[in-house]
Amino acid sequence: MEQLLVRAQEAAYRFSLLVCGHPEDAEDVMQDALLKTYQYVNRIDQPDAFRTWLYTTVRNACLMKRRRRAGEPSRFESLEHGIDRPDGTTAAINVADRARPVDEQLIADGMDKRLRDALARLPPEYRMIVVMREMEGLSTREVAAVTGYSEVNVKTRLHRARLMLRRHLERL
Amino acid sequence: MTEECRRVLASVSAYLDGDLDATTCESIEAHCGRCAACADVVAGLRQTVGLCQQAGSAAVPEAVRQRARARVRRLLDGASNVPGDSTN
Repeated sequence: MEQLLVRAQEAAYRFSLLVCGHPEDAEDVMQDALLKTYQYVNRIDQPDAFRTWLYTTVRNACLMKRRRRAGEPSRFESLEHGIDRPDGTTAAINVADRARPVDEQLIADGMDKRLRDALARLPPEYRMIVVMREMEGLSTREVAAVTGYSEVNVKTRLHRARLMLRRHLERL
Repeated sequence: MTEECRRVLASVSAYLDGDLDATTCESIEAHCGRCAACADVVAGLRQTVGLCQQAGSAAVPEAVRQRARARVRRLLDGASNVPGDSTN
């Protein structure tokens, strides 16, 4: 279970940085993914369904962060409040680690800067599809489930995104 | 750009993803053998996809992973220390 919980946070970290582009949000999104995965862990019976669930959860957390930043009302729950254990009981557990935000150096270490810059120039919905499909290795069906687009639409957007990405990479 | 170029360019991603049948793949390859512009696009997109996939397989920075592990330990330790107690 420990490995699964670490992997869920790593996925949240990459998604938060690459799709949402707000390094300062990454730690909160990782924490949210950790707690929600912990609560969900007993219901995992199919790895593919878990991946779809995880990326949907992370995407929603990123969107909520963005709305919150824009000053809109947020339903983002406090992570310091009690959480449900997999066995159905509740515990107040503080896993916050706000003193050590993700810094730019760590991000730069993980990926070619030219690619990051090119990705950042894509429209958000296209960027999300590239990250999930190419980098995280989700199938077209999984990306469709996370985004709510049809599989045909995912393929069309991925194709356009690749063309845009190629153009950006050539110019950088 | 010919009509054939347009058809090829619209199918490049499907071609790279292995979604096309053998006959269609062969016709795209034959076209690229004759058309340098389309061959460039196919090569460029293949390179772009490869770059993304390579980036995706890169490890998360060790410091981030350590923080993730520490958070998991705190969560699991906290949960095991307060069995059945919701007032911790």
